[in-house]
Amino acid sequence: MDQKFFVTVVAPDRAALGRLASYELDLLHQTSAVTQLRTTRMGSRAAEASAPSKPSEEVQQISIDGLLTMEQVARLVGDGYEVVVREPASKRARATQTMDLQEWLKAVLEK
Amino acid sequence: MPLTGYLTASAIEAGLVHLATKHPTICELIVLTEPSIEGRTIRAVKIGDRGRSARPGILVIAGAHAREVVNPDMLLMLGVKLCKANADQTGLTFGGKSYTASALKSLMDATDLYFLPLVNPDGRNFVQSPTGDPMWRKNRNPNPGRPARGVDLNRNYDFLWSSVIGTSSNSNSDT
Repeated sequence: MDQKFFVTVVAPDRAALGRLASYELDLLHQTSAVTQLRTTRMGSRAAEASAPSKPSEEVQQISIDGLLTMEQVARLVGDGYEVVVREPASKRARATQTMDLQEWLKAVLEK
Repeated sequence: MPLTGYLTASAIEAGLVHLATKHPTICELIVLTEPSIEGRTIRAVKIGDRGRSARPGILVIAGAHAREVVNPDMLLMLGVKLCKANADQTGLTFGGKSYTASALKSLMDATDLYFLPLVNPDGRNFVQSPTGDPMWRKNRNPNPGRPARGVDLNRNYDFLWSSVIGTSSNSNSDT
């Protein structure tokens, strides 16, 4: 079984975000978002000195989170997406922490 | 005592049996006609006055996506608390919202509640197994002839199965 990772996929544009549906990936639809980012253009010190009040630029980041294997990440990157790998899926897995029914019932009825 | 973990598939089933045993006048255990693909019995519980004739019912299901482990426990918890409140003739409070004993009685008088807390016991068992996959979402149908195992139950009900109308065109897709 291939290891999976929580990732954020950044699409170059809205159409590319839509095209992700055809990849049949485990994407978390409710996380799709368009975020306004403010960036400051960096230039040479001389250029900055000559135009110190150059305004920052607003750019849109179109992204969606997902749970992907590295092979799937590589495919997306090859197709022009930027993929930020957050952490292995196992780091967020809590399902194996189990509880005995009698203890659970006691805890539930105490609440 | 704090809640320190999640119930296993077998503990959820035992919880339903516990409810029906402890509150026989308002709880009726229902065994679904088909077991899971790995042979697990799937049970629901009907909560309502068993002496009354059939009334409108509300069906609540949980646990379709195996890796979403909280909601089956929450539904069983709701059943446990409703039955206890009914037995003690007390109200219930969830978060900041309170329900009086008479409001709960009105609900139970007017409706039958059907709780099916674990639609996908095989998936939950796989998610909680040390050799399983904690991020598995589907059931464990082997899907003969297809590369991927499992069916996403939440996207593929009997109605228009595997069609492109409302459900996935690929019943074993990971998406």
